[in-house]
Amino acid sequence: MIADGTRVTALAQGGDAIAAWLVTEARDLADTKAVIGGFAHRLVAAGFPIYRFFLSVRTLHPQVVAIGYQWRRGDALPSETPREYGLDREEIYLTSPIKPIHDGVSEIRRRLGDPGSRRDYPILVELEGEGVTDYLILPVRFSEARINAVSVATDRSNGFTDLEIERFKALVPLLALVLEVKETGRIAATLLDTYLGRDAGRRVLGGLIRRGEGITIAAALWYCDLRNFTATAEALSRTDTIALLNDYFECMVAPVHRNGGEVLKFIGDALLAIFPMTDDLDRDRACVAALAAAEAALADLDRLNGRRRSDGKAILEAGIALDAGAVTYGNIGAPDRPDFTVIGAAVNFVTRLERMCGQLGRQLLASAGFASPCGSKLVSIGHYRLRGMAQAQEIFALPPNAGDQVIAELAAS
Amino acid sequence: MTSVDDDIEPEAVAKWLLNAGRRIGTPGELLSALCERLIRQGLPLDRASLHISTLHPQVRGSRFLWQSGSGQQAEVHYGRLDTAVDAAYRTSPLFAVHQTGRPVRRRLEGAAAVDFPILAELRAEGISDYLAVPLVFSSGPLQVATWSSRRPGGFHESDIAQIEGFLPELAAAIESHEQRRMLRTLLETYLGRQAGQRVLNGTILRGDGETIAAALWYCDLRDFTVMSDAMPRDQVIALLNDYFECMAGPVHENGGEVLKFIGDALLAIFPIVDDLDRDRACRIALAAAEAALADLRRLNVRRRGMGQRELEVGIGLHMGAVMYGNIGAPDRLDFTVIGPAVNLVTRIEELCPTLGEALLTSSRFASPCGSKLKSRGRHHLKGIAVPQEIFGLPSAAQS
Repeated sequence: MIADGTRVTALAQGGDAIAAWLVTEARDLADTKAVIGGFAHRLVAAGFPIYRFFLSVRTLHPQVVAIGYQWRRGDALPSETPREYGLDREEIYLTSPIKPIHDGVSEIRRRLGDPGSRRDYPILVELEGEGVTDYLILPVRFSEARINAVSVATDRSNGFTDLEIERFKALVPLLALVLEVKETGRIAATLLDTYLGRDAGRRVLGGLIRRGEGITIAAALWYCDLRNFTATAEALSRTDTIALLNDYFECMVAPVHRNGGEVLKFIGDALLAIFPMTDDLDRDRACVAALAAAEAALADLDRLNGRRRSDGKAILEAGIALDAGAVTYGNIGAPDRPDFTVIGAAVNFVTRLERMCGQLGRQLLASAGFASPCGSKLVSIGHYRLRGMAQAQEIFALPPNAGDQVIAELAAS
Repeated sequence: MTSVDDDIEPEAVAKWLLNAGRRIGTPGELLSALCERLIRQGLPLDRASLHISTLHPQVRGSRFLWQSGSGQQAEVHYGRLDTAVDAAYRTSPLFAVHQTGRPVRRRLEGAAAVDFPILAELRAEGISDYLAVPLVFSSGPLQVATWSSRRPGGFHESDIAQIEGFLPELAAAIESHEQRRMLRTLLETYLGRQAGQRVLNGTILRGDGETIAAALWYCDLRDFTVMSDAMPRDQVIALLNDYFECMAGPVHENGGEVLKFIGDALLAIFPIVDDLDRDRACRIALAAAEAALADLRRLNVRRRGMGQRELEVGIGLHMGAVMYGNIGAPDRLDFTVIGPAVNLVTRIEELCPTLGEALLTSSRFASPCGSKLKSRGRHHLKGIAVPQEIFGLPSAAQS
């Protein structure tokens, strides 16, 4: 007789319901937090006198090196504490029992109910103050030799029994397997967000990965670059060039993200971003958001230049061009190495428009299609022929003093 | 008294999958180690396969096969656009499992007609019993595993129960493999092979990176912007894909790596291992460039035949030290190369239309390539203070 479905497990037949849960339902849960919460609840329900459950997982993230999940009896879900780079040099890590586990120690147990027990890590003293009598920390081994750590603590007067410790140890490899899948999925999402952008990253993870696959969307477009960057970079050391680019990109990217935009591409010192429109009625909102982002970015750049001036460094001049139109968003390139990018006449146009910034001595230029939703905020500065285009285009810019006004207001605030 | 081998407990297979099994290098190796264990436990297994769908630009899924006698077979990739594979799939038990989410079992002894063509083949090979079961991953489509036996009478019900007993563990172990493979594929696809590997190894903090020496390649299409303005979107995509295939194919075949696509431009590197390796890197970059130009000529013959405009490319080649790493905003990075050498190679490429050449190099690049390249004189390049001596292919080599 073939069972209906595949959920009957040898382990369930063997009687360990928590093990069976880990290889079946736990895998369907959305994330590590849900797995930890469910696991801790099941342990308590099965009679494990757990007071605190803790998991530390190392991750791949541009700002976060590890995540700590802490669950205490009564919590529905664990708290989640991201740890930033440099943690491995900090006291909190160097004096924690997690460090020896990372270094290869196979377990650390401290029976704090026993007055003679060592209290050789600050966390033990802290937990004892909360009534903890027994503490166990174990490695959680992921594939490719990555080691994480899990700990349990109880406040039962005589601590964990030997049987409880054995059962818990037997569950850790299963927990590791479930967590590794969740954490790998999370790392994939983070890395795609980081290197492709949020929307593009999600589309790729959702399966949009074949070359030629793409979608056409309407968006407000942003293209910016640094004036004279090549010449400036010639005279700088590599470290200074990187620092300069990072400072400048930070001024541009943060306002784009804050206003609902997405950075699609970095191209040397240039950046292409979109502010997607959900439909025609959304056009005005997208353009207004993009313009607000551009004004904020220019204000951020002014502040950066203030710092650079006082450090005796050259001032950075950016040009930002804004347009609105349909772009094709998808996988273009070689079969095994597609690139997730945008193409379309609007992209060509916005890069050409940006080149006019230097020529016209403006920091921000917009097309007529972009300017109309922004109402009186942008003013026409005349018709110009852009490189490669037959027809002269009407170009819009901020009124001469508008930028100064924003800066003056910010300076006053 | 015989000692009890812990392998013979069904539970032991599940535990083995979750501990040692899942650490085995590939799903194929995992499958054969699993089958060998099952046979030691008395399961009459003669053929087993895993069918896993993947997130990959060119591959829809993979098949891992094990057979008694010959053991682990090479992994087979199912292409995305392979209609023969498609037709075979639609008449296979895999399709039935995907559609219904239920197992398919067929006893193949006797002369009764079979409802799937593959089963007739297996029967001809002596298979007496066949079972295809779903493997449930935590997200995404169902995966499938199949189990076949040659034993007269086929599997016993206890054999079937044993197989079903470890399926969740098998699914969990394979899923963990596939997740890591997916992560690697995605990064290699969108960042390039080496850059993807570096990010996986933990080079991800902004400013993280290293200085490497490499032969540099920068190419773009002449008049692409103007051409693309007048073209329907699908034609633009097809044109770019055809052209990038001509360029990226030879780059990869010669050990280079595509770092970036920038509209119609492409930046690639051929890393130099040490000082003695400079000549090799420059020569293979030049060989790749010549192959790319030859591929483009073939593409242009096809385009001419279809009445389409021919594509003209410019390739700039240079050699130097570049900084390879993470640049951008704290939460939105770009893994790329920067440095004066990158600026110079783009400026050299920009000179291609002016000099009417498809390939130009710096003098540093040209010297290891010996007499193959000829000087085209000194030129002033935008943003570069000192005029540079530029080299090109002898005119006969270009036509």
